[in-house]
Parts: sequence; C-alpha cells; structure tokens
Amino acid sequence: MITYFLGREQVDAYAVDLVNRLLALGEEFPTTWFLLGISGQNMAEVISRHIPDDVLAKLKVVRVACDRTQGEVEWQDPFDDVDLDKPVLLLDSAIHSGHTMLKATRALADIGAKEILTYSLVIKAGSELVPNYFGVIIGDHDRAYFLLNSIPNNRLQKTAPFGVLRVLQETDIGRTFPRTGVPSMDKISFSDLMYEKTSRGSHVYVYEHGKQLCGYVSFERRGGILFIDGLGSDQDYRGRNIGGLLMRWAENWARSHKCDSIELWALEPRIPFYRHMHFVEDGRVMNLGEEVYHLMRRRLLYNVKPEVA
Amino acid sequence: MALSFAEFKAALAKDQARLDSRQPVQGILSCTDCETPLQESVTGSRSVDDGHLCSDCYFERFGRELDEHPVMMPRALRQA
Repeated sequence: MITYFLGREQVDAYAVDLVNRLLALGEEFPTTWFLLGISGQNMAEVISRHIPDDVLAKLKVVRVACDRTQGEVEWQDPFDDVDLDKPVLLLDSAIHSGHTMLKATRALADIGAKEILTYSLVIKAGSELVPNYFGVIIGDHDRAYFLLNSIPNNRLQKTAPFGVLRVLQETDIGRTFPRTGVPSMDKISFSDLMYEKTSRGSHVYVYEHGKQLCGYVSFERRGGILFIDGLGSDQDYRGRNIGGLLMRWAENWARSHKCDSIELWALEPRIPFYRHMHFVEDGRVMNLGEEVYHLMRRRLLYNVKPEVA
Repeated sequence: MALSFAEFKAALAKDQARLDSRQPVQGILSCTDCETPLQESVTGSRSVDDGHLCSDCYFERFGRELDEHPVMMPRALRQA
C-alpha cells in the first residue's frame, strides 16, 4: 500500500489547472456546483481561491450528502433557482469505488440536469466512474492524504497497556503461553506456533508487556486474503483491548500487503457477532462434532471486491 | 435558493469548526459508540449493524469479543 501526500502547493496547482480549463469553456462554464460531502466542499473552497471575483459572484452552490451504505443522495440545500439546462459541476476530492459519484450524477440527471461536469482530485484506478476532470490516479489499495489539519498516525491502541508488538522469536519457545481460558487453545505452545511459522510461513506476532507475553496473533496470506489462524490474549489482560490491538495489526498488515479481505473460522455461537461486524459467511462449514466452525470473511476496502477462493 | 459562494464558505467554516470540536455535522455520520464525526481518512468509518464506528471503537468492540472468544483454528498439536 502506498500513501500519497499532496501538500497545499500541489493541491493548489491542480486547482489552478482546473479553473483554467473551466474558464476556457466560456459560456459552458458551470455556474452551479454540487459538492459531494465535506471533502468535496473543502476541495471547492481551495479551487474557488483561483476564480476571478466576478465569476465567483455568479456561482451557486448546493451541498450533497450520500450515505455510502444506504445509497441515498440528499440535497442539503434547496436549488429551485438553479437553471439545470446549463452545465453544472459535480465535485469531490477523492473517488474510491465511484458508486457515490455515479449515484449523484444519476440523481442530477433524474431532476433534469443535462450537462454534468464531474471532477475529483484523486481517483482510484478501479473506480467504476471516471470523472471528466481528475488530478491523480492511485492504486486501489493506496491512499492519499491532503487538505488535512493533522495526518493520523497508524496506532495500535489508545490507552495502556503499552507493550511491544513483535514477531515471534525462537527465544520465546518455552515461555508461558497466554492463558485464554479456552481449554483447547490453552494447549498451544510457542513451540507449536514457531513450527507453523517455520514450516508454513505463518506470520506470528506476540504482544509483550513487561516480561509477560500476553497475546498473540497468527495469520497467513492466501492470495488476496489474510487468513487469521489464531488470536488470543491472557485472561489477566481482559478488558484492556489486547485482542483488538492484535486484530488491528492484522488488518493493517493485510492492507499494506494488498489483501482484499480477512477470513477466520468462527464457532457457530459467535456468528451473530461476526455478522454484526459485517463479516459474511463464506459457506464453508467445519463440523467437528461438539464444535461447528463457519468460515467468515470481511472485505477490507469497499472499493475492492474480495477474490473468492 | 442555492447558496452563494460567500454563504457556502461561511457554512463550511462553521461545519469545520464543529468537526474540529467533534460535534455532529449535518450530512456526516457519527460514530455510534463515541459520537465522533466520521471522516474516512482521519477517523476511519466502518459499517456495523447498529450504525458506523470509528476505527478505535471498532477495534475496541472486537477486543471485547476476543477477550471472551479468541480465534483459533482447530489443529493437531505437538504439545512440545
């Protein structure tokens, strides 16, 4: 995964170019701008700084919201005074799947807009919509940071315990394994995990707090899927989000290695939790008599469809 | 009537100030657990059955589940 940083100068340069191209349209210059989300609004504000005052005075703005999961377009401002026979500009700052902008263009067409210019500063290569003007194409797994007051650091957790997340080492063999309280899991040893790491190429990380190894996660990359083989934390650390931290690292690792989804085997009684967290059942079931496992999968990026094994 | 650009800029400044102080803004989802306004690249925004969560809250929910129900694929153990 590549992270692109666009500083203020770069964003301004793209804005200047867009303004010049729009002004060159002459009579076709779009005098009504539909701005998608707060990111579209912030981009429009930057672009507007390069527009002559007399042109800016004639611009009308309509803010548009679209809930990605519900798929409904909401016009946040009335626009009964807008002439939809004239060109309009639909603007966003970053397009991922293209679905939101596509919905918005269809919604505009439905209400009578004929000439709909579209712009986004950043688009992902797999976007289903290609705007009329765009600045930068990035890969589907990549991300771009721009127009942010602060850039978020990657982080494992918000609060203590602050330990060290590291790769399993040979010196861990023989050390006390985290007691999860699950009898079958508490039979595992670091020797077992080292064997899997060495023989299967599993990635095994442990969380070390002080001198205690209080959690572990083991996963394998299978094409575009990160399969989580095991994840557990010591009962003494209950309520301290060690498991969440380990899952977070697994996802970060997955994204940085261009995985599309995460999979794990969940015990049947836990399926409601995973469905709640928007995992879906793959369909594969492992019936071991007393325990029935279901393979659960969650896609990592909404713009990338998971590959199916 | 649609906004003039001056009106839009004033509204944007107000919304941005609300976002900076973690107050809800119309058209922007808030985290179901901590009510932080969600911005994809800043807070993360993950859909779950009861709404949307910021990344921090998503992994905290997961952590509570994993405390009680760790993940383990059945295997034959060497028990070394």
